[in-house]
Amino acid sequence: MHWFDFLSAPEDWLGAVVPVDLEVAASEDAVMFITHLTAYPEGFNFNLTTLTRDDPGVLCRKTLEASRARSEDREEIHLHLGVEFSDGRQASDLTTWISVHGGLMRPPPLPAQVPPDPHRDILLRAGGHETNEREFSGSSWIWPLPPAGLLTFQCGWPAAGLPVRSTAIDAGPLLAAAEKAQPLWDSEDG
Amino acid sequence: MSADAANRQRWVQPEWWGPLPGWIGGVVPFNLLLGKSEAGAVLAENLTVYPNGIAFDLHALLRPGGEPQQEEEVLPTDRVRYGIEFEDGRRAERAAPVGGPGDFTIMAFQEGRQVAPDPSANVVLNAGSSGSGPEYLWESRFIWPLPSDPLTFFCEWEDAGIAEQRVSIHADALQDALERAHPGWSG
Repeated sequence: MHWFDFLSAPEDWLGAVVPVDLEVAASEDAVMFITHLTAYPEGFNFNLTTLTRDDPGVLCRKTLEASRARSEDREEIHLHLGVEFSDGRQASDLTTWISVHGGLMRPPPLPAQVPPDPHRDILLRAGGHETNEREFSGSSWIWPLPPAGLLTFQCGWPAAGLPVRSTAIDAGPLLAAAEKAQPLWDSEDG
Repeated sequence: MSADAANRQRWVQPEWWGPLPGWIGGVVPFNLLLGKSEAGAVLAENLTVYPNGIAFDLHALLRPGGEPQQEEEVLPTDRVRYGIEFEDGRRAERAAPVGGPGDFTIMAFQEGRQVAPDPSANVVLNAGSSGSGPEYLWESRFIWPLPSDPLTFFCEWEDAGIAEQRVSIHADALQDALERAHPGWSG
């Protein structure tokens, strides 16, 4: 165990997959899905995929130009991604996966203390991204596992006509899957 | 024609290239441990089935806390060998991503030649994004076409002491995941 283990999924574990397919935001121009919940003993990963009718770069440029023309809050051009546990803990992030200029991404909000308290703190870390034809996707990490009850995702992309929306699922299957995650090596191996 | 419109017309993704555009793939509800030794492991994760094939992430890692790697011109992770095999014998692997007869190569396509693989005879293991270091390798790959029979993964990694190991996915698991795949928009 290391003090920084809360920052990402453990690489020496085989995560257990919950095959969710959750539409978390939708419009005529873009749609967002959460898939591949992958559970580990201390947290979980998920994929956020955004599909666009138009080329993402074109849509991005249009939304940025429109945002500038209206002198809107610059945060409106970002994808919004948030998570809430049933006990009220929340974490959110704005991601520049599709931003056409840099300098706006905020560092991930870190817990108030390190190591964090798994009964009080929560971490959302938006990871890498991949862009394909009219699609961009990325994996995010949530620490710790949620308590039983509803697990709520808040997703949206206001500049592309996707208001931020809350979508809840039962955390039960995720917690059950976490029990099935497997260490790649026993501590006595080798 | 506007520059935007021209850009949109410039690229039509061939079906062997990657996931069907505009689709959300069906999630295979497990990750695979393809090979393991005391020194390393090779995993296939995020298996996702589309009407035109299967996307997955290959993750190879040396065991954390193991012997530090000596500085070499070729990283140990460059020597990871893995691939896939269909029931009819077609196979493709990292170093030879097109299997089967004919003159189709990914390089020829990228050079602009009018070439295409044969879905009844070829198999393609196309590469997407990737990352690596001395002790880990991560590669996004796409298998084309979608096999109708069991799919076998194989891997070998001499640096980690992993002799060739094989793991198969039952065709029913792929079919179940395919049934969960859908277009992004229902309309």
